[in-house]
This record gives sequence, structure tokens and C-alpha cells, in this order.
Amino acid sequence: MYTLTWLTFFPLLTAGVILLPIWPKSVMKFLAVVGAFITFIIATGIARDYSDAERSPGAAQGPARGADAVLKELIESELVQLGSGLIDQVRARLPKSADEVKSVSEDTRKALLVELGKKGFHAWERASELVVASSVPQASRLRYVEFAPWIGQFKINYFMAVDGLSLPLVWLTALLGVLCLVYSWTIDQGTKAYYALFLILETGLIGVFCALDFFLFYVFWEIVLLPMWFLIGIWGGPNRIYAAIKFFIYTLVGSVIMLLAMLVFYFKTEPHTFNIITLMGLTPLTYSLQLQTMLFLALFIGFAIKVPVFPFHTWLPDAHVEAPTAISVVLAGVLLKMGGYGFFRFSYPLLPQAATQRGMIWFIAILALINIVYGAFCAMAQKDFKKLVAYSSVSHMGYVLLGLASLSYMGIDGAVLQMFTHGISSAMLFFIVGVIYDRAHHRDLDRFGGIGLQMPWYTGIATVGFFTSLGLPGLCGFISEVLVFLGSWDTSMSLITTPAGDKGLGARWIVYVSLLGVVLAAVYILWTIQRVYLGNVKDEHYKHFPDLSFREVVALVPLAFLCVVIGLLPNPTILNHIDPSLRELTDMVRKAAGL
Amino acid sequence: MEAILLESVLAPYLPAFLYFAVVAATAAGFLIASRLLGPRRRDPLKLSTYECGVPLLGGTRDRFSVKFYLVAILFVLFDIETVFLIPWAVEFRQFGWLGILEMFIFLGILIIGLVYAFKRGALKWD
Amino acid sequence: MTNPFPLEEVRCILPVLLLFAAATAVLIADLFLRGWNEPASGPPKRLLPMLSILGAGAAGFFLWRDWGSAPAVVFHGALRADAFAHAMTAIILLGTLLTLVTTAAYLRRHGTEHGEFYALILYAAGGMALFAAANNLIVLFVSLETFSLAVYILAGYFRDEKRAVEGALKYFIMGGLASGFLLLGLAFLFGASGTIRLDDLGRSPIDQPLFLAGLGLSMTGFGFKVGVFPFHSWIPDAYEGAPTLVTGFMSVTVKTAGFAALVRFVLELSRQAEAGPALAQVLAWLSAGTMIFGNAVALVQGSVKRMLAYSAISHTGYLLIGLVAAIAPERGGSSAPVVFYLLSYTLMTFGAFAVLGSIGQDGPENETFEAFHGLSQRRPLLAFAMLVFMISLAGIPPTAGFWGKLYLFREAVYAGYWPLALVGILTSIVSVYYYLRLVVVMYMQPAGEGASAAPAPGWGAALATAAAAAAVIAIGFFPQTLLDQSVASIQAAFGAR
Repeated sequence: MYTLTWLTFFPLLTAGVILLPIWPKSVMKFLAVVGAFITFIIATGIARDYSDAERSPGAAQGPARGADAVLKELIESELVQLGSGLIDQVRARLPKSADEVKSVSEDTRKALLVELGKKGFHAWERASELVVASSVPQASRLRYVEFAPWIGQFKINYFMAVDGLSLPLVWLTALLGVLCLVYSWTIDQGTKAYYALFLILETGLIGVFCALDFFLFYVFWEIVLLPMWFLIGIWGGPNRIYAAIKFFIYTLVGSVIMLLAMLVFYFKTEPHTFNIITLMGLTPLTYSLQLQTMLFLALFIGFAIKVPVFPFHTWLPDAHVEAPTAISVVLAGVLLKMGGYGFFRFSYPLLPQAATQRGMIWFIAILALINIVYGAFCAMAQKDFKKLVAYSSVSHMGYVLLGLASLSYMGIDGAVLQMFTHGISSAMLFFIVGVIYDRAHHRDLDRFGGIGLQMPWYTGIATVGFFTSLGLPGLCGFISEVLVFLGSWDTSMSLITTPAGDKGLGARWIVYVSLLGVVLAAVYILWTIQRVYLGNVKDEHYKHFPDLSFREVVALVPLAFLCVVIGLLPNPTILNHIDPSLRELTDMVRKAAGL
Repeated sequence: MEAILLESVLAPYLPAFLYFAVVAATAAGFLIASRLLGPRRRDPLKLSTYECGVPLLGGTRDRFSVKFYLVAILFVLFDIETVFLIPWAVEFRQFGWLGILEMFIFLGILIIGLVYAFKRGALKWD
Repeated sequence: MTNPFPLEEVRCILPVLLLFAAATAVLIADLFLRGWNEPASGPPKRLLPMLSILGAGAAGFFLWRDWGSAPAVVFHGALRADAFAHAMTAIILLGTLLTLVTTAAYLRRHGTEHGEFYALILYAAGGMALFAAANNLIVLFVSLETFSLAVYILAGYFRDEKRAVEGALKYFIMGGLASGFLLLGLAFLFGASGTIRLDDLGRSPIDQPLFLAGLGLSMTGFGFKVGVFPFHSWIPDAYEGAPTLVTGFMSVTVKTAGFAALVRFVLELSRQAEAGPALAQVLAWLSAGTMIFGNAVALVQGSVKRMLAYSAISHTGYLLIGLVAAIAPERGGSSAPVVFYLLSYTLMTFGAFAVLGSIGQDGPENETFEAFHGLSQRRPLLAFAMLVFMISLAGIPPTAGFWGKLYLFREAVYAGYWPLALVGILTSIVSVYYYLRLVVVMYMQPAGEGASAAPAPGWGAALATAAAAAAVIAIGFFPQTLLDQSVASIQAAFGAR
């Protein structure tokens, strides 16, 4: 029971344990890794049960039941508290469907308040929110539901669940948590604080992906911000304070704009609610398109800063260059996905009409294009190894945006898969940079050369990572990229290439130009491999470099393994499990947008 | 109409106004009379500062001990506090025993103040 | 004739009486511990802080015993013992207890531990508790003067320091001016309505122009006391000059008491049909001005103490939002967030001053940002506590300060004053910069030349700081009970608002 709560807060618990002043340093590190590993086990268990439940939805038992069933039960438990007299009255007035809830007028609400009294009315409001939520098609895909009132004053609930959209990211977070903590074994300044902060960060990240209450999401979002800020600002490189503050201010501005949008949702919707699933059930919202567009842009800024989308991306290279290796890994592997996840969970489902306006499709598709091509060109121009990887992240996150803008089944599948595979490949690349930086103490691409002769194992695994990032068939990066391109190229579904009259753009050239990104990726990655690993040894020092140590093997091999497995067997490993949820999502958005 | 209103409002104050007028007239009368009737003879002793008839000791702007301030403040404090005794004394029959108790509490607080001032050395001269 | 001295009503002011009694007891005990006419450096006086903590604790106990009792108008309408007064007294007592627990070691370190200090703190607390319950213009004014005089003296407590004397004098003169404004305003209000009872003022037939004049003047007086923008000028100097912990005491309890009376005053008076909307409008502008000014000026401060002083001004602006929401014509909002916010404000602001007071001797050199450089290495727990307070002051979740601000902004939106909420949110972003600047220097800068000595804080200071930090986080995760309590206190005292 409370599986998701355990999963989310187990890292926090571990942080609490390791902060006790009784552990010697190595025991403390060991405990932290064990804690992260248990978290990973829980996440894996959830993932396994989730895929079983998806295969045979009727047979799902216990926590693996769909949210629709659970929420229906919650309506009952909400009503039971009322006592015998009031309960029938409230039940009689309870709306049966989302449309009925939407049609309740202000006068009816006032009359109900008089009739049912304050207590009865509040129960009626909460129950009708749950009625709406349980009727949303996506709810049947949400499992491991946990629902409890948290702050009644503001109608904030502790509402957590996972579906095909969030589960891969949760699992990835748990995996990278273990790998990063193992890799960070050599941190010897303020080790305890570092490990504790990292674990708090992990709690925040898992929470962000599980929270289905807008406010809870916001709280977790902010919980992520602070540890990250410290991890960059204290353990970072020479220019760390600048990078940390830049990261902080960018994210904070974005999150406050997001908070504003969130409050508008809350106040403009009747009944006032932060429950995302309820809000989805009420779409298309009754606000004017103008307001919807404004809200969409507000959310967009909040998430785009995190992704990062082109004009807001400048914090990323700074943060990556200064952050210690393991932190860069989490930053690229998971933190960037918070933004992408936000688009899928909030922007599109809550504001389908605003998202599918012609101007908005243009806007997002063009930004995706800029991200892909501009990011790739920037990566090509870098001399700093880490900056190159950072810009390649910008380029790769562009594919996510492109798939999203297409709003086709394949495009959405590809975009979500791209978030996952980029999480793996970018994590690998940052580990790879970390390995060489630990030995050479510089990251200047022009000064490397001939590493392949000295460190054959390292070079072998690094090549897997690079080729995944490049999109070589047989590795996981290829699957997601090809899905994105096919999805956005498909004229029957994709909003990008659908003829202009049919609510799309009819701009196939965007897809063609985006393909340039793949070519450019091949250029900068092959060039990097050539400069770093091939050729003659440029420096005498390089001849004394040892090959991978145990902790580096632990960090790199599982990721390389995943690259290959997902690349060869994408369907059984991941696509089959995420596709149903994403189909529901796509259908819902398209339907609400009137496509 | 307005005149009547004015009359009715101000009428109760008429004795007070008369009183003020008489006071002012008397004061002015004394000053004017002494000015007109009094003989004026100027000599050094007459022109010197008046200090209760005692011969002068130095100038007016002499410095004197700060302790006088303290004594003056304490005097003012305790003097003002005792003013409260007067309205109480007028009505104390109606207050009964509780009224007596209340006044003694009040006096007790005053005494604590006195003890404090005394023990902190506020009344010590050197 | 009615009983002139209703004995059974005394229990309603028992906390106040206990505070005054404890203060007097401390004074007398000090005299006898010191020995006859000995100078300040008498025998050790551990007893005095104990005695004062005991007094404040006893007051708290009787407050707790009366918690939730029905509102009562006592002493011929002079006082109202209702849930709101109880809540405010509780917050004032919290600030007082934190101060008393923290100061002993601090005063000893500065060689200035006199019994009068504790007595003055207790007298001030008693006056504030009375102020929060005052339902009569005369009691309102007398209790205001009672605690103001005590605080003036406390502000100039380090009388050998030039800036302390300057700050205290400024505070005294401006405070006297404010009292004058207030007194004149109260006199006008009496003249306009013929009553001195606050709860009657809102209902009596009034002389309109005189009433508005009285309202304006008394609002000016209150504005000075709580530090609203155009009347704030004494705050930075007085806060900087006062001993750091006194500054902490002043900034939390004086503000709480001021807002207690202000809420009562405004809510009662705005029952007059013409007064409400106009007052809401004026308060909204004052609130926006205070938020913008306080935060903008705090940005450029080089001294942490002054930064906190300007931050105190800006928080006054946030608190005013609660008043606006309660009296706005749309009547959708409530002033309940003021209660909640004052509680979290007390915890985080006093906590911040307690840390500032713990990192070294009082003086400009230990109040710079440089003094905090690398504090996380020297005193990790102290630095962590400061981090918690700064995050909470900035309004970042999950802390008490976040929920307080959110609650205020929500009420503003309910009352139809969403631009005010917007100003609040935007200025909060600005405030993040200067609060987190301190965190940056504590955690990310190595200790340089100007770094403070950071002596070990006494157990009292450690206890108070840790408790405040823990409470800020705990409220951040579980604010529900306190939110309910603040709503209940406002509803029980003023009806639906």
C-alpha cells in the first residue's frame, strides 16, 4: 500500500537517515546508494505491475487498478462522512457527468449552498470534482492512485498516480539516482550534504512526475529547484555562483508565471479546483480563446525555460559546464524532461483549443525547428566537450517539441520516447565527459586525441552513447527520432503537415529542414569521436590514463545496455506500455479541440 | 433661524465668557493702573534680576546638577498619580470594599515604584 | 448602578495582568539580587530570565485555558476578549517567549544584562496584549503608549552606541508624532459619533466629514506604527540601531499588536457604509506602495540588518492585502490570512534576527553580507536555520511563508483586487534576489576577511532558532490546522469576515 508515496519519499527518508551524525563517511555513502537502489527496485516493481495491468486491464487488482474506479470509490467515501440525513440530499443533487457539472449555474450553486448547508455543499463540490475526474478517459490509464485532502482551505489534494506518460520518467529518475550516487563516490567535500541534497532532489523529481494536483506539482517543482541550486552552486566549477544564480532566476521566473496561470485556472473554473484530471474533464474550458492563449503562453514559458526552448536556453550551457558530472547527468537526464512532461500533462490537455490554433502550431513548430537546427550548429561550434553535449541536448529536446506539435499518435509516442531515450543518451554522454575530465582536468576538444588507444573499454562504451545520440538504427535514439519524423510527416494526422485549410499548417518544409538536425548531429558527433578518441596521442600525460574504474563501469554499462535493448526491442520494452495512455491523451486533445 | 440656533447652542457658555472677560479686564486693569500710578525710579539695584528679594548669586544660565531633573521627574510622577485619589475620594462610598481594595492596589504599585527609585539610588544625592 | 469593578471579568485579562505582574516581580527581584545600590555588574542573575519566561509561560497557560471561549465584552465595553484577541495575544506571547529565551546569553555576551531589560519586554508584551483586545478608544491609546514607551527604551538599550541613541531618538520622535496623529484622529471619531466604543463606532449615526477626517488621521497614526510606506522612515534607522534581538522583538511583536488593533479598528469602522470602499481603496494603494518600496530598497542594502528592516516594511505591505480583502465592497475576502501570516512572519523574522544576533557582537561589521561568508562551514546548523528563514520570507514552498502569501493573494482575488495580488507576486520575485543573496554568501562563498567570528550560540538561542526553523518547515507541510484556526478566530470575532 501507498506504493507511490514510498517511492516518492524513500529518497527523502534516506536523506534523513544519512544526515544522522553517527555514520562514518563510507557507511553513509553506502546507505545512500542502498536507499536509492531500493527506490529503483520499487520503481521497477511498479513498472512491471503497470505493464501487466495494461495487458489485461480487467484483472488489475489493488493499487494497480485504474484511477476511474478508485475515484468512484472516493466519491462514496466523501459522502459517507456526511451522516445519514445529509447524504441522500447531496447524492440526489450530485451531477452525473462532466457536462452536467459544467452547466451548473452560479444561481444553482447559491441555492445549493443554502439547501445543503456549508458542510453538505463542500462535500457536494468535492464529490462533483471527482465525478468529472472519474469520467475522463485518461483516468483509466492512471494507476497507483493516492488521494487524500492535504490543505482543505485551498482545496489542495495529495493526488498521485502514474500512467504511461510519467512512468518511464519516474523509472529513469530512479535509475539515474542510483548511477549518479555511485558515480559521485569520489566527492570528498561536504559529502554528506551532497548526498542528502541529491536524495531530496530525487524525491522532488519523482514527485513532479507523479503529482496530479496542480498545486502539489508546483510544490514538488520548487522542491527540485533548491537542491539543484545548491548542488551547482557549492560543488560546481569555478564560475559556479553565476551559473547557479542564472539557473535559479530563470527557473523561478518560469515557475512563478506558471503559478499565475495555475491560479487563473483555479479561480476561473467552477468548482474551483487544482485537480488536473478534473480540469481535463472540463475541457474545452469555457474561457475565451484569448484567455486560453494567454494561459497557454504562460504555461509555455514556465515549461519552455526548463526544456529549454530556444530563446530561454541560455542558462543551460552555463549550468552544465559548472555542474559536477553527476549533477549534469540528472540535469540533462531528468530535469529537462520536467518541461517536456509539463507540455504533455498540462498545456495540451488543459488548453487544447489554444494549442491547436494555427498560429500556435506555427509558433511551436518553428521553435522546435530552431531548437533542432540552432542547437546542432551551436554544438558543432563548441570547443568545450561539455558544452557540446549541452547544446546537443538543446537540439534533441527540439524533437520532443516537434512530435508534440504534430499531435499525431506516432509523433506523440516518438516525443515521449525521445524524452526517455534522451534521458539515457545524454546521461551517458555526461558520464563520458566526466570520465575523461577526471583524468585530463580539462575539456578542450582540440587538446584531446588518441584516447581510444589508451582506454579501449571506455572508448567502446562511449561510442555506443555517441551513436545513440546520433540516431544510429539499432540503438534507442533512432526509434524515437524516426517516430517523431514519421508522425509529423503523416499528412492524415499531423497538424504540421495537414493541409492548411484543415486546421493544420501544411508546411512540410518544417519536417524537411528538421531532418537537417540529424545530419548535423552526425557531423558534430563523428567529428568529436575523431578528435577525442582517434588519431595519435596528443599529450604524454594521456599515456598514463587508466581505463574505466569499477564505479564508472557501474554508471555506464546499464545505460549502454538500455540503449541497445530498447533500440532492438522498442515495443515489448517500452512502446507497448506507453502507447495506450498517449493515445488516450492524443484523442482527448484532438476531440476537445474539435479536430 | 440661524441666530436662534446660535443662541441656543452658545447660551450655556455665557457665564464662562463673562468670567473670561472679567478676568481679562482685571488683569489688564492692574497692569495699566500700576503703569499709570506707580512711581518710577531707576537704580542698579532696581534693575537687577528679581530673585525673591535675596541678593543675586551669579547669572541665570548657570549649570546645575542633573540630579535636580531626576528629583523633578519623580516629583511630577508621584504628584500626578496622587491626583487620582481625589475623584476616588469623592465617590468612594459607592465603590464599597472593592473600591478600597482597588485603591490600595494602585497605591501598592506606586509604592513599588518608590521602592524601585529608592533602591536604584535615584534619591541619593552623591 | 452597575458594578464598577466586575471581579469575574478579571479572568479575561489574566494573561495581561500576569505579564505586568511578572515584569514588576522581575524589577523587584533584580533590586534585591543586585544588593543595595550596587552597579550593574552584580551577582549572576540567571533567575531573572527564568522568572520572566515563567511569567510569559503562565500568561500563555491562561490564554490556552480560555481558548475558544465565547467572545465577551468586559469592563463596561473597554475590552473585547474574543478569539481574535486570543490569537493575537498568542502570537505576541510567542514572539515574547522567543525573545526571552534567546536574549540571556546575548546580553551577557555584550555585558549589559540588567533586570530592566526583561521587565521592559514583559511590560511591552502586556501593553500589546491589551492593545489587541482594546474596544475603547481610550484603552486603545493608553495601551499603545504603554508598549511604545517600553519599546522606545529597548531600542536605545545600548546607550553607549551612537547609532543606537540616534535610532531610538528617531523612533521616539516619530512615534510621538504618530501617537499625536492617532490621538487627534480618535478625538475626531469620538466627536463624529459620540461614542468611544469601537464596536459602536461602526453603527452609530455619524457626522460624515468629521468621521472621515478622524479615520484618515488615525490611519496615519497606525501607518506609522506598523511601518506603511510613506510613514516608514523611522524603521530602518531604529531597526539598525537597536540591539539585534530587540530589533527582532520590535519587528514581530509591535507589528503583530499594530495589526491586531488595525484589523479590529478597520473591520469595525468599515461597517459605516461610506467608509468601507474608500478605506479599501486607500489601503490598497498603501499596500501596493509598501510592497514595491520595501522590496525595491531592500535590494540595494549592504547591511543584512537594514535589508531585514526593509523586508519588514515590505511584509507590512503584504499584510495590508488582508485588510483590503476583508473590507472590499465585493465582500468575498477575509482577513483570516493576516492572522496566519503574522504567525509565520513572527517565526521567520524573529528567527532571522536571532541568527543575526548569534553570529557575532552587535556592530556594523557583523551585519554586512561579508560577515556571513562561508557561514555554512563555520556554523552549519545556524546557516541552515537562516536558509529556512530566508526561503520562507521569500515565499518559496514548502514553508510557512509560502502559504501565508498564497492565502493573502487568494483573498485579494476573491475580493476583486487581483492587481494587488499580481503586485504581491511580482514583488515576491524581486524579494527572492536579496533573500537568496544571503544564502549564496553563506553557502557558496568562502569565508573572507570580514567574516564573523560566529561564536557558539547559547543553548537558549540555539533552542529558539531551531524551534522557529522547525515550525516554519512543519507549517510548510501541514498548514491546515493553523489555517482553520485563523479563519475561526476571525469568524468568531467579527462574523463572516
